[in-house]
Amino acid sequence: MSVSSSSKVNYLLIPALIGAIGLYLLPGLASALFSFTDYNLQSLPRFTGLANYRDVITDSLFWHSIKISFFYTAFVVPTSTLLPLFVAVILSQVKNRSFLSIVYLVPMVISPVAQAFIWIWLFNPEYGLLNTMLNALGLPSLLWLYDTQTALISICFMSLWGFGVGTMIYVASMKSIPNNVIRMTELDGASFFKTVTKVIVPHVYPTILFIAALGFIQSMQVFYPGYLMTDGGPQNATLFHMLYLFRNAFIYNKMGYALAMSTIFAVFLMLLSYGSYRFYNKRRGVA
Amino acid sequence: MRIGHWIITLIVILFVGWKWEFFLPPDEEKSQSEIRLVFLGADAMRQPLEAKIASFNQGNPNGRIKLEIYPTGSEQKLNLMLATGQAPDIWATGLEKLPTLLANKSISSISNLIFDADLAGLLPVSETLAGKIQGELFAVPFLYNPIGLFINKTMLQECGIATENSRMDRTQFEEALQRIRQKKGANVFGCLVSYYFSNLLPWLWGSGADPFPAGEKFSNLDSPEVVRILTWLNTLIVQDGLLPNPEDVDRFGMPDYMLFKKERAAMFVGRASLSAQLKDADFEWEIIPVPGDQDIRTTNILTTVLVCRKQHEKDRLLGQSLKFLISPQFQDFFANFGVVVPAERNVIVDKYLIPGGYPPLEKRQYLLNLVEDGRLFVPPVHWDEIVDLVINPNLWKLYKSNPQEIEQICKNMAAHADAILRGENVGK
Repeated sequence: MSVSSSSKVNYLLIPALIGAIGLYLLPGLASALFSFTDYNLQSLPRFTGLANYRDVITDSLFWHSIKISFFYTAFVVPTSTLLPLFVAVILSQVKNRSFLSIVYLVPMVISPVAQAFIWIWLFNPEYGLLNTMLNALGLPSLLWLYDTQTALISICFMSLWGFGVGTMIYVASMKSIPNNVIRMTELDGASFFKTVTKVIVPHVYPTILFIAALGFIQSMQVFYPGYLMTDGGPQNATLFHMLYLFRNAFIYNKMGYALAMSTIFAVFLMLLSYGSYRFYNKRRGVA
Repeated sequence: MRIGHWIITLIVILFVGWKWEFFLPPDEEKSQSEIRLVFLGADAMRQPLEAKIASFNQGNPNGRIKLEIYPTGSEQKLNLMLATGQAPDIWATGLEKLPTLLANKSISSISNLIFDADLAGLLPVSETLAGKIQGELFAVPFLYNPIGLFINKTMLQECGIATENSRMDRTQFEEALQRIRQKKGANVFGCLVSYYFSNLLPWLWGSGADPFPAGEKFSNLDSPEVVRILTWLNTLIVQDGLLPNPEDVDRFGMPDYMLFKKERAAMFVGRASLSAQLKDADFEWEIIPVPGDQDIRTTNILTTVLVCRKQHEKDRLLGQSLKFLISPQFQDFFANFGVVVPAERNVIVDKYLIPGGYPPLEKRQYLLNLVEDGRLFVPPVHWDEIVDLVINPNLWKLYKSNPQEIEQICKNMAAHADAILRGENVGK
């Protein structure tokens, strides 16, 4: 590429850069600044130093909400990464897979609010489909969203509903594997399992990392199931970090406090992302 | 060059579109003669509310009210309006928000717009409850919601429980629970007790306890009266098994009034506004005061007040609008709509309380009694925070503990609630 065409490309990046600065960097900086104030959305903020950070760190409910978000992430990231891979491998063996592809994508077309209400009914302890099925199998009913022991697991279980997008991404990624590579492994007598583990998985490894990273970020920021389905209950069993942040910001009007929570969380996520980035590069042999 | 021309043209169009008002003559007259009124509520309210407002607008050639309705729970939208200088002229808000709005100078005194004579027709509330702070009026009471004991009269009569008096003391209530258990077995709950603290208030006040003295920066959640009544409820749940644990009721995944309507519960404690949900029940029902010690009284909750962002050039129209909003002419809309008791007491006995002539007269009379005799609960500042962080977690424990542990739970509740009332962060 010549110097002039390269500089044209650079100019074309300017709108995206303006968007990134205006919509992400500046609000991020403003959030960090307001986290040092008692901003309550209605009056002018006053500087309070590190008071919000001190309060957040000593707030047991903050750590509880972090724990809940981590538990959710620990469940959702591996399952939402590996389950679509498994389904995609099976799907790649099916010849006419258009119908199945549509079926897997349908849950993603439904809005999160509608999804939440569908699942509230599925989980209904008295009249829900899940308990009806359990009872038909001779198993006892569960309280699902209404029990501190099962509420979070129920929401984790619900999250698997959206594995269709991951499946489609894997299928697209697998299409880029040259046919002759697969054929050659078959000619060499490799079993299906070996083909998957030695050819397909290494080939789609960057996609796996991409889906895992995306899943991690989305899971840590999960909000709507707790907000719509349980309101953080029972007994704060589903009080996700984002839900607690939202309550502080918009229900208790403690915007400065909520922004301190957000800043701590953002730094934490950045450190984690940096760690995983270093780990990935190390595995690839990049210095 | 052609591309350059296109870009310049585009910029000009964008500028003109963006600053369109710049090219228009100033519209001072319009801004001065229009009151922006914001309500948070169901979308179904829109059409009838608009009709009411239209009637006001027709009769007022000097100005008009412009109505904006946002869904219930969009308080953050209102907060953003206040934060960005887009506050409406009048809006309905929870009374518990009043001190915060005042501290933030988001609202103005309306003492010179509304006079005591205008408030005389309102419910018998004290000056403080009418939104008076240090002699200045900052809010007008708008909506109330009394709490009562809903009883399935048909079922109680089947169980041999007298319902003619429409009153019960706590001994009679216990006897009723026992009879329901004997006659109906475990499939029917005698009475539902929810985790909502507001539903516990009538029990507490019925025992002489005042858990949140109005205007104070401390709670009385550990007073002997509170401990006594909560121990009584705990005993009925944990030891006697006559009341269900709210957790056992949760498994139905439906609100109390639905279980009552489906005849899975003979009684429940709830807000009078739930009457609207029971219009088509297959049995005869009644609302009676929640059983108390002697002087039976029921909690009435002041839910909503009207506040203003005062603008001198609009004062006259603001005053007219406020008077219209608390007038019987406007308030009967709420009586028709959801049985939320409106500010104007005469509406309670209005024949249009619930369309279709329901509930019967004695129920309306009871509502009137509730409003006139019942105590009025004004939620304290930081109410949402206290409920989420202190009361709800402790009520959960309360219904699972031994009666001996109740006192300690109440002490913990009081200590945490007091800290929040002082504006401290409490966490869990």
